Amino acid sequence: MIIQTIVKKNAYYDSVTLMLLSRELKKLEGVEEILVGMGTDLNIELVQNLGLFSGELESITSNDLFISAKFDETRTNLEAIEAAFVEQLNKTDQKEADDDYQPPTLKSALQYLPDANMVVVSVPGQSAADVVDEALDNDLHVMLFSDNVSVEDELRLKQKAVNKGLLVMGPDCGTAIINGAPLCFANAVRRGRIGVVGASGTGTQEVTVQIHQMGGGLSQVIGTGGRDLKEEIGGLMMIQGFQALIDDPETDLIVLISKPPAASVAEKIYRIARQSAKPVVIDFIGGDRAAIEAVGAIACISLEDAARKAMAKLNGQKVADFVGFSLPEAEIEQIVDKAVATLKPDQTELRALFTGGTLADEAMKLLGGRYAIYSNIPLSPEMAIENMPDQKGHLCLDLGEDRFTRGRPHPMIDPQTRTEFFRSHVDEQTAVILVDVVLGFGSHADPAGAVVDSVREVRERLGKVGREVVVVASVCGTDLDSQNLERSVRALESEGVIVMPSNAQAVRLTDRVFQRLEKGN
Amino acid sequence: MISAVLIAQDLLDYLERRGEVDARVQAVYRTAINLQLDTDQLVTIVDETHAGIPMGVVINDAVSAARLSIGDTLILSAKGFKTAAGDDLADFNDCQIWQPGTVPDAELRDASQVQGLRNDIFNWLSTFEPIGLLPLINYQGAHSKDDRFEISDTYCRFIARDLLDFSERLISGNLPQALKVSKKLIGFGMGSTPSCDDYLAAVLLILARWQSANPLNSAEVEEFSSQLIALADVNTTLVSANMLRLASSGRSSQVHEALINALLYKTESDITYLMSQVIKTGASSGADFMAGLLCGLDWYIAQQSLQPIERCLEQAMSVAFVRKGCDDNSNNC
Repeated sequence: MIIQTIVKKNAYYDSVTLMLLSRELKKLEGVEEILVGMGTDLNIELVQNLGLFSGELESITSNDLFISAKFDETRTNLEAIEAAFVEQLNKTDQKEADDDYQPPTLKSALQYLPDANMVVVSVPGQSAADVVDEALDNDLHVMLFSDNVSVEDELRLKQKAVNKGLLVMGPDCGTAIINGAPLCFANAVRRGRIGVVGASGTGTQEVTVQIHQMGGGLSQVIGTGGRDLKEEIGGLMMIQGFQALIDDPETDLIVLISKPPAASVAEKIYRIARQSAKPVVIDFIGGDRAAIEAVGAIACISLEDAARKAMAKLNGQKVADFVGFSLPEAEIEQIVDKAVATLKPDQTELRALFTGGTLADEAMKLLGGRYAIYSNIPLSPEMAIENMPDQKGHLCLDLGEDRFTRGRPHPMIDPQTRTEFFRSHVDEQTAVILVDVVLGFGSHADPAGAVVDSVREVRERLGKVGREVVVVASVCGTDLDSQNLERSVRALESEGVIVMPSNAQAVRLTDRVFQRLEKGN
Repeated sequence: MISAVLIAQDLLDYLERRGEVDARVQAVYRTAINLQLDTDQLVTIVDETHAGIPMGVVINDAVSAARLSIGDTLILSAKGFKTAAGDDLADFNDCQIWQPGTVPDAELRDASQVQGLRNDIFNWLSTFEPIGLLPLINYQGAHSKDDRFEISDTYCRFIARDLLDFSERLISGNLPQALKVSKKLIGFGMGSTPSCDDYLAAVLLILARWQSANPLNSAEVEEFSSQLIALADVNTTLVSANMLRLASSGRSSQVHEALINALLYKTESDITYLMSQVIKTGASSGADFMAGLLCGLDWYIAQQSLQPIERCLEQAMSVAFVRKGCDDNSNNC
C-alpha cells in the first residue's frame, strides 16, 4: 500500500460534485482509503488522522483541492485515480445537465444546450408569441403547447417559420413524437415507417396507438394545432409537415388527421397529395371523401380506419373501409343482449363523457346522424348544451374544452372533472355511459382506476333505486405506456365495463345498444 | 449584454461608496460566478435558479452568457459591470433591489413557540437521509461524552466530538469556550463551503437576529461573531469565509433569511416550504445548515428563557470577553 496525493491549485468545486466524486472514487479497485476536500487546516488534520498525509499537502492552501489516497500500487496507480476523478467530474457535469438544471429562460437553455434544435413552449398564452419569436430567431423548431395565442400571432409566427424552413407545432398542440421522442401528451409507440401530421391531439394519439397495436410503427408525428387548417392560417403547418414527411427518407406512408379544413386549405393539401410519390391516408374527420379520393389519397371513416388503411397499404394488402368490430358479430350481439337486459324501459339516454376532444368529436359524427345529441362541441348550434332541457336527452361532452378546464387541470391529467360529471349528469334515465381512457406520457397515472371508481360509485347510487347502467369504454394506449394497456383494460372489465379496442368500435357498440333499445329490447 | 434582474442593496451600497472597482473572476460554477474584490470580499453573479444573495446579482441569463473565465478582470460600479476593455456586460437600470438582513416588521416569538418549532424541525429532519452533519442532531443536546458515534461518513465521524462540544458550550451560554472549540470546526468538510461552515453560518444568523432584537445587550454575541469570522478568514476557503462574514451581520440568501425570520418572528411564512428549499441546497450544505439551525435555536431559546437580570449578570461575568458593558439605561437590564 502506498499513499499519494493530487493537489489542484485554486480549484473550486461545490459540495455536490465532491460528494459524488468521493463516493465513486472509493469504489475503485485497489483503493483502500481516499479523501477529497479543500485544503483547509482541519481537513489536512483529518488527512493526517486517517494516515493519508503526504508531502504534496505541505504547501496546500484553503482554496486548493486535494485527493489523498491509500492504494495497492500493484492494482492501481495515481494516474488511474486522477483519470477516474476527471471521468467522474465529467459524468457529474453531464448528469447535472441531464437531470437537474432547469434553465430559467430560453436564452439560458440555449447556452446550456447549444445543439438543441427544438423547443417546447408552455408559458401563459399572452407571453408565448414572444418566446416563439425568440426561438425562431434562433432557428429552432417549436412545439407550442400554450393556448390563448391570438390568430394574428399564430399566422405571423407560422409564416416566419415557413420562411425559415422551421415548424411551429401549435398553439394548443398537445401531441408530437419527433425522432422517437414523445412530446407532451403522447403514447409510447414503436418506431417505424408511417409519418403522421395531426391537427387534433387525441385523434393523433388514437391513430398512433392503433398503428402500434397492429404491429406498425411511426417515423415522425407532427402536430399543427387545431386552428391550422382554418382559412385564417391556411394550413401552413399541415403543409410544412406534409412536405417534411414527403422528403423524409424514413417515412414510407403519410397519414393526415384533422377536422374538415376550410375549402381553400383543403385544396392546397389535395394538390400536394396528388403530387406525392408516397401513399397518403387522410382522415378529415367527417370530411369530403370524394375530394380525397379524387387526388389519389385514401379516405377514412374513423381514426381506427385510418390506422388500418395505413397498415394495409404499407403491407401491400387490400385497403377497405372498416365499419365493424374486431370481435365476431355473434359475440357483439351477445354483449348487446346482455347489456340491454339490465336496463329498464325508461333508461334511454346516452352520457358520453370524453377527456379527448377529437374522440368526442368522432363519437358525435359517428352517432350524430341517428340521434339528437347535446354537446359543448355540437354538430349544429341548436344542439349546444345550453339548449338541453333539464338535462333530458343524449349528451356528449368534451371535458377538456376550455369551459371545463378553467382554473383546473385538463381531465387527462386530473380525472376529477369527469368524476364530478359522473355524479351530476348520470341519473336514472341514463342507459349508456361512454368514456375514453387516454394513457401515455403526460396523462394521469391511472386513468382507468379513476373511471373504475366513478363507475363503482354510480352503480351503487343507481342500485339503490333498482337500476343498472351500461358502461362502454375504449382505452387509447399501448403496452409500452407506463399505465399499461392490458392492466387498464383488466381494471375496467373487472368493474363490468365493456372495453372495446378503439373509440370507433366503442361508439358503434353504443349505437347497437341504442338501436336495440329503440326497437324495444 | 446580460440582463440583471435583482441586485442586493449591500452590493449597491458598497459600489456607490467605492465608485469603480476592479474585480477578478475567482470561480465559475454552472449557475454562479464569484468575483473577488481587492478587499477579498466576493461578489456573486447567479442565474434565476437562485434566490437573491447578499453582495450578489441575479441575472436573467445563464451565467455562461457572461463568457467569463477564471482570472478575467471586470470593472464594477453601481451602474453595472463592464469588461476590462470597457464594454458593458450588465447594467442595473431596471433591476429590482433586495435588502439583505432585513428583520420583519413583526413581533418576536416567545421561547415556547420557538421551542415548538425547533421540535418540529427536528422531527422533519429525522425523515431525511442522514447526510452531512445530520447524523449528529440525534446526539446534540444529549450531553453525551460517549465518543462511539455510529456514523459511517468519515468526515462526520471525525468531527462529531468537537461539534457536540461546541454546541454544548454555546447552548449553555459559554461563548468564549464555544469560540475556542469553533477553531476545530471552521473549514472542515469538502467543497467550497465546508460542512461545519454551513453549520456555523446558521448559528451566526441566529445570533445576528438576536443582536438586532437586543441591541443594548449583545456585546458578547458581537465579540463572538467577530472573532469567529476572523478565524474563518485564515482557516477556510475564501467563499466560505465570505459566507460567514455575511452571516455574522445577519445576511444570507433570501430563502435562508426567510426561514430564520419565520422561525423567530410571528410571520405567516410557510416554514415547511422554506425548510424544503433550504435543505436542497448543495449536496449536504442545506443539511449542514439545518443541523446548525437546531444548535442556534437551542441557544436562542436558552437566551429567551433567561430573565433580563440574569442575562445582564451572565454578561458581566464574561468581562474579559466583553467590549461594551451592560447599558444601565437599557430596558432589558
